[in-house]
Amino acid sequence: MNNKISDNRCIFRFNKDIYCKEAILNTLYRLLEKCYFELNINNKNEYELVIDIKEIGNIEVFKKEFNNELIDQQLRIDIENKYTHIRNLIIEKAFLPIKDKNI
Amino acid sequence: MSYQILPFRYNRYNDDTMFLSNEVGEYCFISKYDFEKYINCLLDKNSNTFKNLKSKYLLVDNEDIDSVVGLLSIKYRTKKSYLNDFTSLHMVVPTQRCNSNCIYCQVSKKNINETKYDMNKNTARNVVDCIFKSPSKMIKIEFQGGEPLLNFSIIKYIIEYAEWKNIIKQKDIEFIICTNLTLINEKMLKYLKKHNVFISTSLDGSKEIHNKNRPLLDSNNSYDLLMQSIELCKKYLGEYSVSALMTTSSYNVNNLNVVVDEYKKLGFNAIFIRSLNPYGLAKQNKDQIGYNIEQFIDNYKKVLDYIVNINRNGYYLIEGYASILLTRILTPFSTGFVDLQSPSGIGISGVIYNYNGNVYVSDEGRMLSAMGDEKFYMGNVNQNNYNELFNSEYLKSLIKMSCLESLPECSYCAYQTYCGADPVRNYSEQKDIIGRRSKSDICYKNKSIIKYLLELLKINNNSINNVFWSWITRKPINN
Repeated sequence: MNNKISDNRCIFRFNKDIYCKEAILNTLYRLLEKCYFELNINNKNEYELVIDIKEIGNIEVFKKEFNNELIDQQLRIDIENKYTHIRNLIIEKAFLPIKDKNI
Repeated sequence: MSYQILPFRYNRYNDDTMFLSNEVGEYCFISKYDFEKYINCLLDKNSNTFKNLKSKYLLVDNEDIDSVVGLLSIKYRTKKSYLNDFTSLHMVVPTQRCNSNCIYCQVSKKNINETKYDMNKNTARNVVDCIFKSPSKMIKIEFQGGEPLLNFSIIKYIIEYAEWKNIIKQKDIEFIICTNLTLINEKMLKYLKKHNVFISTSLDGSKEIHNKNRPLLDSNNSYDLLMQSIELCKKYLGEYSVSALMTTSSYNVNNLNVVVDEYKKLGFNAIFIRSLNPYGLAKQNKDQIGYNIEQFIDNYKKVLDYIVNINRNGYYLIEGYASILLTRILTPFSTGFVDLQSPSGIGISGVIYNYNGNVYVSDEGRMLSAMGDEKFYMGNVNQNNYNELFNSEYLKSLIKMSCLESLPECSYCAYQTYCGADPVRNYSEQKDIIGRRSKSDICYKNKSIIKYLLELLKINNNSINNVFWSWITRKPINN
């Protein structure tokens, strides 16, 4: 859920059960050239994100872009959590031949 | 669960399509609708999408998982096999003097009379001793400059000392000289022939373009001299003894087809469409000779199409950068191209020894040094031993910061397996070794070119695919 405060500022509030901090930060990192931000936890234990976009007038587009990117970031983290053990298996097995060699 | 999802990365290719790739670079395009089913393990096992994803090891039937993990691990090891042997490319700068006056000179060349910028025998000896301490079974010694031929005596000394050392070491050794060829003569060529030395030169296009980009100090007509020299090289060293590289400036960025025509006219079978790097005069004169990255990419796509059509019409011509990326997209093999590796190839795959014995992680690191920034200095062969140079905490820390698998944005990028880290470039552009992708021209360029190649592959046109495979295998289609 997000609220527009002005033409270049809005506040996002995120339920911690749906979105993790890492997903929010990854999203912000991708969009860092377009905004300034402040991330806190409010008294409802939600993530509260205040964003000031650099280009005034595009706040609605930015909000949509942010939400879409956030979904992707959260999905990547969820997939990673589910299947990273297989990736670790592959890499461990790949380097098994040189594991104990003194190179 | 009816099947097991295997590790993958993805991006939204367009409004309807997702692009998926795995740890070893195998990839698949699927609809958004199927993607949602895939990640929720709801795909019909009899569907083409399921079979496609299974064939690309993006999912596996539960009973097959052990064998697939084993197979993927072999492919992963193959992808990373360039790490096995450590530094194989050793660039040596016999002199920083140069008789050219290239408008984009990135190495901050020195005046032709300033012989204090020549490598001396003592340093040359220490350089070769250091090179042979590398555990790599294959050694490529590449002479760079300045104009290396201005200190030909040291080149000969290095070649002969290296050959003498190799009697015992028995490595596969290769010599290359990167030269403007304006100083080559028959005596030099006879020597190079005897010692099996390859030549790489620069050719930026037609006479008009080449002369604009690469005038000499004492003449504006370097092109005619280069043509004579290429003929002389072919006479003494063989038809295919000379390779050429080009650099894109504002004078040829909109005429890349003309550049390609020049290469074809001279019988070259490879061209590498290189953008300007932000060092030396290229950075200083950016307003005059530079262009924005979007302009380069637009023109690159057009010239790539042009080159593909040249191949389809019967003339074999590889585009170097595309062929490297295609090898990474379509095969599990590593390419040995140090600029596209994770971890980066700086120091551990390639290294450069300057005329004074200073060692830098890459040629770009040396270029920064010439601009007054010693950030990528590793040490000096006259003062530091091999362990101090190559097993230092400094080099290790650089390498740690150049693993795409753990860099912001790169860690989840669907093109990760095809790409590489460039910490020197990041530092040069952003004063930050890790850098931010949204500000990185190199990231934008690589993503754009990779995406374009994937678009061409997605078309699944037989003749285009044949051209691409001929580049990967280095065998013309007719062969």
